[in-house]
Amino acid sequence: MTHSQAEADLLIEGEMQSRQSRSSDLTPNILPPQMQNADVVLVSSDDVHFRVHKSILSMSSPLFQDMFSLPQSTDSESIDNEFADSEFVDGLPAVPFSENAEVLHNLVTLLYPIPSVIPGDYDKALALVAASHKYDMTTVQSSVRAEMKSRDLRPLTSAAIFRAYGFASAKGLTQEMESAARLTLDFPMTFESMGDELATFGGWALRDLARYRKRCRDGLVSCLESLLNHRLPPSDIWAGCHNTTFATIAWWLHTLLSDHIRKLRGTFTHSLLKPSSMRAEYLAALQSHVNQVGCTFCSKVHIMHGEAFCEEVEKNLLKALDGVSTATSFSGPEEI
Amino acid sequence: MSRSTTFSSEESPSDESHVLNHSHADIVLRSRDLHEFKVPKVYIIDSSPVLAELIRSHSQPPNTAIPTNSVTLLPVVSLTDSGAILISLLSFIIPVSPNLPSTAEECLELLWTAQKYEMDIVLTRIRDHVARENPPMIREENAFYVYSLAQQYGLRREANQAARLTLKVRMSIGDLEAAGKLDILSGALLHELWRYHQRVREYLAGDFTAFMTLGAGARINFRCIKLSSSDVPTWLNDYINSIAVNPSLFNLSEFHMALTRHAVPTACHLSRTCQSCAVMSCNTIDTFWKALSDVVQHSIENVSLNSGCPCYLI
Repeated sequence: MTHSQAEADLLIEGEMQSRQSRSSDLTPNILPPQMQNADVVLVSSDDVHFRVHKSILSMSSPLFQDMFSLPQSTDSESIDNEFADSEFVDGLPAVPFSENAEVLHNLVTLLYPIPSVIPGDYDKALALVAASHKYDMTTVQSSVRAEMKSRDLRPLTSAAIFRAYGFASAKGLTQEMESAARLTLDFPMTFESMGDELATFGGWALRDLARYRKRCRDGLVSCLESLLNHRLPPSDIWAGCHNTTFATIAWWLHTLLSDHIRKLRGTFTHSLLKPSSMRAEYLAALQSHVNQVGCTFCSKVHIMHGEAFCEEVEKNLLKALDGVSTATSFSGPEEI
Repeated sequence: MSRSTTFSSEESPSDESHVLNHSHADIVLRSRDLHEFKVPKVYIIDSSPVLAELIRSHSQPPNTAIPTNSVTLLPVVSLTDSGAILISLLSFIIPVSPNLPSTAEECLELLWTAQKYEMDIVLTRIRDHVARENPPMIREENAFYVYSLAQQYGLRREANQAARLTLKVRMSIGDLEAAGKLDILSGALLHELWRYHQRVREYLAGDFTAFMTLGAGARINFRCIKLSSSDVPTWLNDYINSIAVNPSLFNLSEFHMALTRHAVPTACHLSRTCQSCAVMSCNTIDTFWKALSDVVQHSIENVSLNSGCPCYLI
């Protein structure tokens, strides 16, 4: 099927729609593609009908391939409870979906050689990934994920991030669950910050997130402790500050790192240290030190190695977070 | 094939045999694990409209093969409950010594079973017996667990009782994780509990304001070196307000710690200690504590779990 043919097949006819596709109030702008010679009707949760081809569905999903390869029953076709209530619409078998019309519409545009519709809203895009995951549409799922990545689509607020984690966890979207979990580290993990999104956390999602966070915290503490070692790089360059009376790295840096270790050890529910924030903190502490005592040693070390040191610190901290194995942290979706 | 039934039960052997094999039995209840209980159906029909309908449906069709016990030829009604739960349930229906299960989990399952069969009077009887248990079935140490189970069983009363006891624990993710409570509760149930705590705190804040401004309960020492505008010692004002933020601070130990911080001289504040509060009589403190307890109790009794909260029936 060519692009132009597919577009020609895309009949958006008001009269047909009013008869065949009963759009609900919730989705007034969804105009479902109506493919010519369609042989199956997909029915969204809000009762919008999408006339499509079994062959297209079968090619995109082994689940549908199996479904349509089963012997046709006289009054319905179904492979499990999801499709158990199938009926006929205008003589075509109808398959009910639990997704709403918007998700189904986006899904259908990704199956045909027509302009695909991938939402710009993170929650909606995630719902599309979940639907493609549920129906085992790996190519569609990859396309949506690639598009989300290219658009740098991500949840931005604390509530959106925790909601994304809860949703991804419930839907078994490991990739999105892990990236959302990582984003939650920038926010406190409290009832207040999670708010009503907590209600979407099924099974042990909350426990798993707390454990993941603790492991990240432990990784950061371990990394910061290693940075206190004046005998090992990258911190060995700071051994020799004349204003530091004991054998260690320069005291201002020691204080900076120790304060972070103390805070992290105190609780894991505060927002964790952001690796990218260390450079600014380093510069502020160094400037204060030089201004107070006029330390030429630290000034020289900074001029010669400061930039490389900051890069190394940030890299090590990121590595500490990346090193947290989500595979052992997350137990996946399960019902209590 | 039915199994011989052996239950660990506190009731006398004669009582147990009465339940299992009643002399006037005219029906057999069969548990999911194939224990059989021969009982007079009049007790069952009187207790439960659900089971009454089930028994009637087994008796109605005259030409349908009704399952019968091969020995007694009594009609058999198969139930999905375990033998242990059924024997306990029957002990509250048939006039024998009630047999309450020994664990909270089993008690909740028993209550759920009675609720499922719409045995209102039996449910009340079971709850009466549960209330007389010593130690209580719902305690501070198992409150989160019982709350979770009760929510799953749809037992609102027990869920509320357990939720009240969780007020004795500081509600923070860090504390709950450290105590292993996140292993017990799903996010949805915890969210509901957190909302409950929020509502209690709001009530407490309102009631405490009235307590400190309108009543005399908090004006326990006019000679305190630092009184609020309502003549309440500032340290007490702070302590009471802290309970509205964190209800787990409502206990005598926390109260005395607050008093000690105010009244006992420390190295840093030798000159700023309050001799007057330091010598407050036990009677004064007892009277105050009783008044404060009444306020807290009033607030807590006014709040319950959301009736619209999702229950996760097993």
